[in-house]
Amino acid sequence: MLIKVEKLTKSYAGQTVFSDLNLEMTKGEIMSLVGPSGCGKTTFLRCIAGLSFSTSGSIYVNDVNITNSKADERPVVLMFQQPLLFPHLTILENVTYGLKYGKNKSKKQERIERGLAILEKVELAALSGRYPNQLSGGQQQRVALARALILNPDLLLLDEPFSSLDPSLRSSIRSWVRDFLKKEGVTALFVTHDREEAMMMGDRIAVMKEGIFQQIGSPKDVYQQPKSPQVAEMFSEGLVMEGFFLSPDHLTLRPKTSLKAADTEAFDATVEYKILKYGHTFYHVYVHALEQRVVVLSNHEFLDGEQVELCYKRISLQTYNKNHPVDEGKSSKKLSR
Amino acid sequence: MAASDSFATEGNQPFFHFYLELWRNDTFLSALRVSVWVAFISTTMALIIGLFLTRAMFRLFKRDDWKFIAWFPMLIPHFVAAYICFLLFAPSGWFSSVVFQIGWLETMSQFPVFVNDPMYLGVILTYVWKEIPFVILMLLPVYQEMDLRYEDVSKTLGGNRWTVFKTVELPWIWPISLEVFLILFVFVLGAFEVPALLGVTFPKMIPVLAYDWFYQAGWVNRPLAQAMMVILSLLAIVAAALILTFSQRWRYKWASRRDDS
Amino acid sequence: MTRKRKLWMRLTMLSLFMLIFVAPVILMFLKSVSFGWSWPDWRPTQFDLRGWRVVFGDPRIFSSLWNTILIAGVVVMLNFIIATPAAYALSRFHFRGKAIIESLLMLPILIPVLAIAMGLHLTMIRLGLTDQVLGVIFIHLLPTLPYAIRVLKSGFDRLKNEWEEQGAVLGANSQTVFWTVMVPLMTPSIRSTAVLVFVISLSQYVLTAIIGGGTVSTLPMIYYPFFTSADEAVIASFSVLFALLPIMFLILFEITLRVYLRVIKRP
Ligand SMILES: Nc1ncnc2c1ncn2[C@@H]1O[C@H](COP(=O)(O)OP(=O)(O)OP(=O)(O)O)[C@@H](O)[C@H]1O
Ligand SMILES: [Mg+2]
Repeated sequence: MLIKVEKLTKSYAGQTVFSDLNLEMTKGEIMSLVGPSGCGKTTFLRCIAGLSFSTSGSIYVNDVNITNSKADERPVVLMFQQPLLFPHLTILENVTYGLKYGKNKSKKQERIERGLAILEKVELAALSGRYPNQLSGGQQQRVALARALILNPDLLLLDEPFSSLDPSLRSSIRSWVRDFLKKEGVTALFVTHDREEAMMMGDRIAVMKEGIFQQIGSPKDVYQQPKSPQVAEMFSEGLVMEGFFLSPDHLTLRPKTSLKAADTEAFDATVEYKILKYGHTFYHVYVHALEQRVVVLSNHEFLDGEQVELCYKRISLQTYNKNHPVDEGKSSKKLSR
Repeated sequence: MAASDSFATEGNQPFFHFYLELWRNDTFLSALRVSVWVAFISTTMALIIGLFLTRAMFRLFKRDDWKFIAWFPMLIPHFVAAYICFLLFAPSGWFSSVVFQIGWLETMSQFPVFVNDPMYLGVILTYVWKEIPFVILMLLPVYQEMDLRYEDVSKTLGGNRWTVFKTVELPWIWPISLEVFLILFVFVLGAFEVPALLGVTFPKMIPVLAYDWFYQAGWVNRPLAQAMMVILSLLAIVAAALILTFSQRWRYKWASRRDDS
Repeated sequence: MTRKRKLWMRLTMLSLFMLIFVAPVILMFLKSVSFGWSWPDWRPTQFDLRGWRVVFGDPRIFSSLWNTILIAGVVVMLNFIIATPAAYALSRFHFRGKAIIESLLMLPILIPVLAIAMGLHLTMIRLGLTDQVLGVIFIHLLPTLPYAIRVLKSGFDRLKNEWEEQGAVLGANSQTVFWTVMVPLMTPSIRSTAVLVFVISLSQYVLTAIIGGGTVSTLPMIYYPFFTSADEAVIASFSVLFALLPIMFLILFEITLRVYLRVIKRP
């Protein structure tokens, strides 16, 4: 395991932000971290980066305990929400900052070569002599990425790095960043608010809520088999019920009058509006019994405001599997005991 | 230390002897009057003019380095500013010459007395000129941080200029203005350099009087000078405490009001 | 507001600034290089450097000039050494009694320095600090330090914590971050502090007179007697000298800052 976080707990003046967090990551893995605002994502990253210190628990990188090292001594780089390029330095000078002033100082010639090489990789070599305020937001974010990656960190932490960008730029740069990180084999932990972004960036997704990891797993698992109603509410698009969950791919719409098949159940629902997307019609419907909204694909034509039935096969009802351990790391440990 | 010296008793004189004596001393009382007058008028004028200039500057020069011209007087020592005032406003000064050239004057002595006058107009002018940049320096950052969307809202709601100023800008600049007023007021009250050059022998401003007494032959008035300075300090501290608590409460009130809405 | 109107207003404003803030100083300069310019001439007719010759012919001028620059320079340096950590702590840390410390630091602004100087006089005599440059430097700290702390603190307040954290995360230790990130980002505050402190120190007459006791001769010490002399060109030259010193200091300081930035900038 490259990264291992054990029982990490952080509290401010008695107020616990998160407690007993466990996390393991392998080399080259990208993990997305999602959770509602204020649940402690930023605090978690800051603890790993050494900008805040955890109340208890430990952090290992390559089996070295770094829990008590200072930020500048850790092989970890954090990218903030803003690019924070030093305004008095040119792009090249910004990128080589860590090489010049960090622990392992390299020679001037080597610094410049490596700086230009990494700027080449982020496709900004032509702008190396410019100052940050002469760059667009996306370019600045790429420079910030280059400045972090030139240090070959064992772990790259990204705290909502694209949230200050406009939506179209955001979607193009994030796929670019993902490809880039994969190509370079960077291990990264990536915080986002955006479900879609989390799924496309992460090999695995960690869902954080109320100070614990509710679930850690592949995007498909988390989406289709949430392990708690909280995860389901936050991450999935299906119907969340007491004790049960219905994945959206098992839901169908039909007119109200039709008969019921033996293995099928139905909810009464109202069509609120429809959206055309990817050549299909998606209906936003409101389920009265559950007071929830859900989006369903259908080939039927329905009118806005029409009363419909939302059907599902009884066998597709799934439980949350609560007794199943939330984190794989924990489970392997339990087995070994 | 000044305090303990001025409390020192000689023989059987009462503890507050020097303070009582000061209170009966006409020279001191007139000095106090003229000092407060100069400090109040010059500070108020600097604050008002500085405020107007800041408002204009912040709208007209968003990021224009030319505005640093307004900083220029900060580079000039106070007594040089006093000399400039003398050059311009003395009966033999430049304005007097210009007025003569226009033909409104026949002799130098017809020009109104602006420097070394008992009203201390020259001193006031000097202080206003020197302190305006300080006011701008303190107020400009506040304006730059101010959220002007409120102003637009207020305008669209049909507020006139004064209402807009009162509801949008005043709450922001009020505390810092008070602080600036306080700093400048106390500074003028206690500064020696300008009135020493542009003042008159009677009434003297307090610092000049104190210096005179402090250095008078025989040191007889030394305790009086120290007592005077102690009074001045106490006045300043009390004023500061009052104004600061007042502005603090004001700020607090404003903050909570914004949260409610 | 239309663009054109705005341009006009800016020009008006600039002219006004020039007229109010700069023109009087230019008049003073003209006075210093004029010959026989007296009432009721509104402009000089002849030029001459006599005023300047008299000022620099005074045997005391060079030692006073040196004293003045030495004192002001040391006072500026001491201000940075003391005010920077104080301002940083006040800006970044919250601790008990912070409000009290902050008010105490403001006191020298609020209590007339003359009062403090008179009070400290005897003590300083006992300590042997009077009548020498060291004592004058010490007493000049009183009216300057509160301003330095205030300006630097608001500079630190404006500087987000994240800049330091960004430096740390990139592997630079806190000292390196201070010199390579904080100082460059703080240049406006640093420049203001330096000039403000320099000018305040340069402007002290009464404090220097009391503590220096006439032994420490700075420029204001010889300026005040000059003022009563009737020779206008001489006073004007002397005054211009006073105006030139801060400007030259500013230029010198700016050059030093630029060179410093150059040095830390190299990739
Ligand atoms: N310095 C601090 N002192 C006290 N409480 C803090 C501090 N920093 C953060 N908190 C609290 O810790 C909790 C977690 O904050 P954090 O910034 O980690 O949330 P987040 O998940 O990053 O939220 P967001 O998605 O909005 O960025 C919040 O409730 C916040 O109020
Ligand atoms: Mg956050």
